[in-house]
Amino acid sequence: MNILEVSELNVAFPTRRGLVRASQNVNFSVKEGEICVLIGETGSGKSVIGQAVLHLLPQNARVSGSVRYAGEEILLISEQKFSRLRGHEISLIPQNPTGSLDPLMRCGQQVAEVLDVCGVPKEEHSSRTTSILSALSFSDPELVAASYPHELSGGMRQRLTTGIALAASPRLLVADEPTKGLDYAARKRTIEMFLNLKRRGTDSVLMITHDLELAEMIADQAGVLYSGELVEFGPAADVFSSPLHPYTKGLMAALPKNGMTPMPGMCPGLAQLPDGCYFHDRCPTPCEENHVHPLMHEVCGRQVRCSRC
Amino acid sequence: MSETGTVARIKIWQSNVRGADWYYRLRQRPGLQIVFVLLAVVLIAAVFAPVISPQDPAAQDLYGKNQWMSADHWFGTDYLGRDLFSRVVCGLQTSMAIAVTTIVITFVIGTAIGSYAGYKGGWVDNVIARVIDVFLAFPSIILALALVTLLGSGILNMIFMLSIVQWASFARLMRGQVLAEKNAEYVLSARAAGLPGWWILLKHLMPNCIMPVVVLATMDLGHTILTISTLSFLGLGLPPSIPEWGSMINAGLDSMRTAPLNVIVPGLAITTVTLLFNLAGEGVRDITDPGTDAEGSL
Repeated sequence: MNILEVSELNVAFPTRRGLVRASQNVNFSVKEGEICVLIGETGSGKSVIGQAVLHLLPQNARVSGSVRYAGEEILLISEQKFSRLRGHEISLIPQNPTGSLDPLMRCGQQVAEVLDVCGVPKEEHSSRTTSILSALSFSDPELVAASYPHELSGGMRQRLTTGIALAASPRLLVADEPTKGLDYAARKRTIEMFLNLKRRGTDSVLMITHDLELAEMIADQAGVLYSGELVEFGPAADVFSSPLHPYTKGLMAALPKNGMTPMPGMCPGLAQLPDGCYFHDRCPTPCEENHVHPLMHEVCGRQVRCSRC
Repeated sequence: MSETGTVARIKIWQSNVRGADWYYRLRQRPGLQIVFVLLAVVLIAAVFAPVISPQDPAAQDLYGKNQWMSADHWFGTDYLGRDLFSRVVCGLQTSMAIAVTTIVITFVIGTAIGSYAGYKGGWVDNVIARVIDVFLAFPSIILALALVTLLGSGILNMIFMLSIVQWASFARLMRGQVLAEKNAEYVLSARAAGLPGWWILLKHLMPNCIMPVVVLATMDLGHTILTISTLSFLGLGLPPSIPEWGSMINAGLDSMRTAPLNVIVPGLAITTVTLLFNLAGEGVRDITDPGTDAEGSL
């Protein structure tokens, strides 16, 4: 069953240079108990999708399309209705663990307030907080709960933000670049944590990342974003082992283990997108005519946006 | 910072005592300690003014008017023979009572309105911001003069008037703080965690925004005392029966050349208290900001 269905999602921001189309006609779904990873470079509109799912877009964003959570439309519902889903239905592991913790509140309190919102009685807060923290392999959960965020290391903060996101056992977890800015050891721990989640098999995760290795290790489904569009979406194993879209191929070839071959060129600015294929200028095997915008179509059990495939 | 200072700093940090950083930064600043001690003396004097003042501040003695300092009258007597020391201490109580009440009121109202406007945004914020602009654009003395004319003199009217004049600067500062802070990532993740808006505002935004407003309040205490004196000097603040520094200066003006104490004593009192509050305000800013160093500050 699909816990999250995103269809024809469009997000645009009016700016002085014109309409910036951060996300265009994005279609994908996350199945219950699966980890779906959206991959893309900076500016490909991947974070915007996560923000749209969580109703965290800036006020000037123009949004259209449909996002269905457990069969229920949530994209354009009121903030009041949506806030009931936050925390215990859908929650977020934020991008920057340092900035995402209130510097003036003890860490335990920050976990407990989420429990409070979800109706956990006050007496259970401290014991629940301790058990959540020890589940995230903190060696001294009581000390962590009594500390302020600046007293923790970067990796500990990362685990703490994850703990806050998981505190109310949400059904869908949105993780926005969970390994960004972490050193090797902390990153490894984070990956292990997601592997644990995956083994448990009960959590559905929508992960947004540019960390291809992380994506390859944990993803069930993978989507590749380019200039605000999905260019390839399908089972992760297939996408990583035999990429179809030339952009995906280029990404895989740029991995250190595949020879680190750089892709030439830059992605087009989101304010002035060409009419035809956005990847035309960088494509190693470009079509001769570039008038018609390629559509997503099914090839070998996955969706690809390339007229050559 | 010296080598030993750094070591002490690390020790304090390791001791894991909350608030140790404040204490450490206060300990580095002997000048600031003196300011706080003097301020404490002033506050105690204000609270216990009737006990401290040796004589009735209203008791006249026309035979002993305009006396110089003596054992009986520490600061001399005024043009009606009233004891200047008693009058200054009672004036301190009046000024402090009005100033503290005013600051508490404006602090509460200003932070509430300012943070609500900054957090809410949109047209609510626009309307409130324009109202704040109007209040700030009006010269405060002129506004106060108009209100006194309208309401008449008296302590309660004075508090009401000063609050109307001053809430806007608190609201503007708090609004700016909240505006700058509300897009911080911890606010975003608090929203994503499903916390209600009022909770985010009270528990997350307010504590992170309040410190500059506390500094402003400390400095504004001195400023308010100055305003009270200005208005009473102009004869607009309080009825003449209440001893007040501004009206004391005004009354002493006529005999200034022959009996300078009439003007000097309340004048020095105003200067000292205002200066103390300004210095304390700067001090509070310094010790609450980890980025400042002891060098170059009090």
